[in-house]
Amino acid sequence: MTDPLHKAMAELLRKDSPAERDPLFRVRVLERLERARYRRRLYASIASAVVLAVIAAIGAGAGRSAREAAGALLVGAALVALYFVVAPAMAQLFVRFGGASKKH
Amino acid sequence: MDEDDAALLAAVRDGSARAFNTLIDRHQQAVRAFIRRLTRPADADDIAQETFLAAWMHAGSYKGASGGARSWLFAIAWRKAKDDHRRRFRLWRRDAAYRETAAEDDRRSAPAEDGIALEQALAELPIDQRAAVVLCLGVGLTHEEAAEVLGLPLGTVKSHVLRGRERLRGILGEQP
Repeated sequence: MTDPLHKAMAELLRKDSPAERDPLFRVRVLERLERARYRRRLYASIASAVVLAVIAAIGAGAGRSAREAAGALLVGAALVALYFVVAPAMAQLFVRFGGASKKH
Repeated sequence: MDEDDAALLAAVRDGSARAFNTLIDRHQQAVRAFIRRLTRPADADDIAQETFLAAWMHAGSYKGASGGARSWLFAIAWRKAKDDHRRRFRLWRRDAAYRETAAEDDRRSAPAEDGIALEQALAELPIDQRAAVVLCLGVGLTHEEAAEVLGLPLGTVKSHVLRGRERLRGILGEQP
């Protein structure tokens, strides 16, 4: 740190560096995180709606009865719901087991 | 510190909001100061927030870095700052009005104290060189740690720091 340039650089970084504690910054990060989660949920809902619409269209297009088309729609809805419930849990398990196996 | 950060990131990976808050509180100052040297002040906090958001989403990918969690966060911040730099450069070439606004912003955000010469000299360095100089001379990382953060070969970082230092000395009128 005897080099004047090192000293000047360190001073420059220190001079206009943000406060050591900045709760407002943390709040803004958390807001951004919530927005990202909301967007993800929105995209998931849109994807589910598209999948269900496709299933309903296939059911109707195949010339099946209204009852069979409704049945296909229900199965599709159950599959989509299962995916969104199970997939995050599977991902969490995968991360945990992956992390645990790396530690050993 | 490194141990604590590793445990903290493991907790973040498991979804602990408390650990995430601690991670932000512990490293926001260093990350924001680093980004402020790479981009316009108006964009720096946006990039810093995106950095922590990415840290939350990808905490599971943390495999340990030679400089600990701080270096890992610097690496995320560096990629985001570089993306922003590329995006602004495309806009700059395409849009003359934007160019004038950016120049005006830069003039307004320039510090009015004795650090101005160094600040302006730094701004004249190419972004890779500037980041290497800031990390090694300002933050105090080793060349190896800076190479890991920037995703560049060690020799390139050493050369960036050497050339950056010489250019800064030249601009500031010092003898090497």
